[in-house]
Amino acid sequence: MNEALAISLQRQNNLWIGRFSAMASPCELLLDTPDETLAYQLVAIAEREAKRIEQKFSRYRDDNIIFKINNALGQSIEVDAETALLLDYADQCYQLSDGQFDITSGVLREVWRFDGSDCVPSSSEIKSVLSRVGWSKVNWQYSSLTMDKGMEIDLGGIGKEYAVDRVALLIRPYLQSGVLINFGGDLCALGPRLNGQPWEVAIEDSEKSKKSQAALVSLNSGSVATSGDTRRFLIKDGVRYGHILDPMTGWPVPDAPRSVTTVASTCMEAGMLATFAILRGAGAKDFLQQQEIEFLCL
Amino acid sequence: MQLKNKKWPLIPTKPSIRNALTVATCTVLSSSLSTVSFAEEEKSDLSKIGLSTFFYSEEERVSVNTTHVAIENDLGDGSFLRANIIYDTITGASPNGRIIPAAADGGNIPFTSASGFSISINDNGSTGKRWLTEFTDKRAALNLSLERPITRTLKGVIEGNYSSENDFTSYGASGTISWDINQRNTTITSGFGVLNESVSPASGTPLGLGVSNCNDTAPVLPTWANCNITSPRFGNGKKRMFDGMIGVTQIVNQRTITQLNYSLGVSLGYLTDPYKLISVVDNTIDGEEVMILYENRPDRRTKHSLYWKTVSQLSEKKVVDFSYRYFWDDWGMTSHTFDYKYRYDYEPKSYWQPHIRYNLQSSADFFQRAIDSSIAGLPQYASADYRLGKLSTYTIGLKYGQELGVNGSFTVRAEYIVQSYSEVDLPNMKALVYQGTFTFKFK
Repeated sequence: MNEALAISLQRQNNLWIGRFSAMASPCELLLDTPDETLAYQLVAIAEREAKRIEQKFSRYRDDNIIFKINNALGQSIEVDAETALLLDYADQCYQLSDGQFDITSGVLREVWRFDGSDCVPSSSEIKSVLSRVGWSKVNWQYSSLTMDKGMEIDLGGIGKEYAVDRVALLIRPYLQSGVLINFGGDLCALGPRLNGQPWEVAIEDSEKSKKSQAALVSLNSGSVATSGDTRRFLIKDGVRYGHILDPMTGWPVPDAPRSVTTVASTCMEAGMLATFAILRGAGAKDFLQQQEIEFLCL
Repeated sequence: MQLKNKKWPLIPTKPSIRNALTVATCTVLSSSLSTVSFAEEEKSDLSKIGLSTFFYSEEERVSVNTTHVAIENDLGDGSFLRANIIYDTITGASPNGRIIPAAADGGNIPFTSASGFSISINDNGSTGKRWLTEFTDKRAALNLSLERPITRTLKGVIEGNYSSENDFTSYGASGTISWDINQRNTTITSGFGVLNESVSPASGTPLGLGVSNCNDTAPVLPTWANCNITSPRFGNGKKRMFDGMIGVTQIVNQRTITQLNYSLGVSLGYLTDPYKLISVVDNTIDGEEVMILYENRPDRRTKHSLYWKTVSQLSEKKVVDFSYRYFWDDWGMTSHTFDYKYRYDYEPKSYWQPHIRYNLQSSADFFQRAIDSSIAGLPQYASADYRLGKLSTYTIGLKYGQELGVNGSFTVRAEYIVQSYSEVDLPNMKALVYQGTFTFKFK
């Protein structure tokens, strides 16, 4: 009976809504079709793909390639083609952000615990962890990766958006009408609704009162992604430390927006632009304007 | 001609970062189509094999050792072929229905083996165990089932069973249909099955309420007793059982699913247990056992049961599973069973599951501890089988499950069972259950 709980499919507001849980997020597909069988099949494809990506790239498991890489103790690890693609992508993002987006920065969490408390680590603590951070220290040559013992990689900053785009790719061939994919706030619209209208996506400002609507985005196709999490921060001596850490300094990016939402053609692109923007701190807005995209900066 | 010193229209400089990101993401996604789809194909259509060893041990009574192999073959297109192979060895002693003598030296009936082959009845009064039947047996069972979608909302399962022991064979078939309605939030299930069983004690099947043995030294025997004729024996005892079930499973919300089933079963034929006895006691001489008869049950039984189960996911890590069963039959028995399991995923790949269960059962109309020798005539039916008497059973248990890599998992569980009786003289039965199961998926 537990397996039956994995996917629920319900008819609401003339849409089939399929829901499941993956990558620690509520995931849903809104399908503008009367065809229940098709809806179920598409949701099943989405669920399987999301679970597959979670299983393969989650850093919380000990049976996947990420675990193998992070526990290689300095040995070279051969990776499969898909992992190589994502490592290449992470490498390009590292270059494009001048080292600010770094998949090895996760170990900083050992000293930074964003639990709303005032436990700000000391400079020496940060320094000692920082010695294990830096994509430039990783030797990545297709298809083998070598890094020092104690370093870790984390594809968490890419995984959910990748899953949204992958699901979009997989279900697109079967579509006869519009679908909206939403994995925990990272969205992708595939075609307008049956009545020709675009999908309307409300962006909430979670810092304000519940369900306060900060903006409304209309989408026929394309993606929306949000970076930043307003609930994860520390406050000490009146200073708010956001959870976006600068891998060069080991400290939170100063004056970073609480959250950035962007619109782009793919979810990976939207998500990465939002992440880049936040890493620019006070310069986030300028950066986003230069990219000539629709965005919302809170 | 003059070239006007015209200002060239400003070509918008492509935002370099965004442009580069667009190219990078497109590369990942388009390449992933060729590299990943194969891996995904390989994942599906996996077959599963489960190996399980089960050990059940009642204190001073029956022990059962079971080896179970379960195979599930994914035939694709939603069809599954499943096979279960079970092998049991059963040893120990089971209460046979005779009274437990009040005096330490036991009764006076010299008692010989009742029904042969795998059975011997001790009449060792001094150890007070003559109320137990010792036996050993081996059982092999095979179950095959095929599950197949019929239409997009209709699914069928057909099943065949065969089981064999030294003195017992059983074979049957069943079919179940599940129908998804209400936008797949509701499933209606209905099934029907037939089972044939045949029991063949080595020395024949005794006639119900026939005489097994008499106490030669008893001062008075009932007028209806004829100790010169022990029970005639006939061949196999045969019975046939028909079972029907209808149920509804409803998804209440994303986290809760509930199920209600009604089952009806009709058994016809030789429903008596050929190894169970009932004592005839003379209450004028301190309830001393003067005769032993074979038990006798009606040759028809209609059983009903209502079963309700709810599984609810309280949070990401916690699942509760509660069920209640109410059972009643036309032999006058009723039973209530409450079952509660709480699953806690304490890591992404392992869980603990405590389990408690309580069962309360009332006795059959013809159940009696012993037959009073002063009655004018024999009742039509009588049984002193403790399983037909009033009893209550408590079970507490704990299960641990863990995934092994991507394609394997194992579970271990232990349970402690206490059964107590209020209408027979038996001491409480205490039993332990251990089970270990390994499951592997393979291509």
